[in-house]
Amino acid sequence: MAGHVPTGMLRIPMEVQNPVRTVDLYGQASEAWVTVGVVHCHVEQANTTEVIDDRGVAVRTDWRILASWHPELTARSRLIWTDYGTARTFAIRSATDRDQRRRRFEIEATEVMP
Amino acid sequence: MAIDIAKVRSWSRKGHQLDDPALQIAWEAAQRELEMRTGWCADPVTRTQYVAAEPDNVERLLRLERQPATAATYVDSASVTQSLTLVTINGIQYAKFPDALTYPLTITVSAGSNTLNPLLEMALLQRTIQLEASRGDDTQTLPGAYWDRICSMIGKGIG
Repeated sequence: MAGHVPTGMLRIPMEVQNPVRTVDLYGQASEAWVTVGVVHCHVEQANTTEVIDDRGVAVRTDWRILASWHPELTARSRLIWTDYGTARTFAIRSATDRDQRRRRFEIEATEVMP
Repeated sequence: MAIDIAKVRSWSRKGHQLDDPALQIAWEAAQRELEMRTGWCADPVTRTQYVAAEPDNVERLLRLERQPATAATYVDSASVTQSLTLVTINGIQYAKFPDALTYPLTITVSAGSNTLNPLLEMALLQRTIQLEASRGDDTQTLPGAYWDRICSMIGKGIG
């Protein structure tokens, strides 16, 4: 997924959310997610694994996403895809603007489903 | 029509405003390209048209080089600006000249409107984004030897 990508391929609009940390009087941080924009994406599934996490068996899916460039999107962001009314969350592991032309982002993201 | 930047951003699926200046230039260029190639004005403009001799038909109708025209005027021998009647035949506009004028003369045509045919608007949006996407990129060539085509249009009498 490199080189020229027609805009028409980026069919799925996803919300970009960035974390905002608030520190209380005791120095404890609480995190909130703030929506900063919408990017259009092309989504490919990379692989799915079944894992045991602290709430039992979960399915963890890696996705390869090609998105239009957005100044607020970083590796700390997450993407929300409202898929037929169901909000799906993609935690971004890496977001690369490969040719540095501020046109596309190549994103690797993980989706965790209980 | 002046650019609706939100519409262009949405059409090009850009979630940010950093490319707005480039989109603006590309939009103007697309409109100008349309005007140079077809004579169709998407923006209200004023252009002149030289009329060498009396139109050679019974009605003295002259096809206007710029469409859609809203007004066509000329300056008569008493230096008074006179309007010409616009006649539309098969969707093309003509100016009807009065009898016994002195030629050659230059008419001033106001053309273009702020309402775009939706089909044309879509074509302009698409062209704008194509031009913008090619900016500064020699890996993505514009179709049909673009520079050659522009050079063969500029200074050749239209636009």
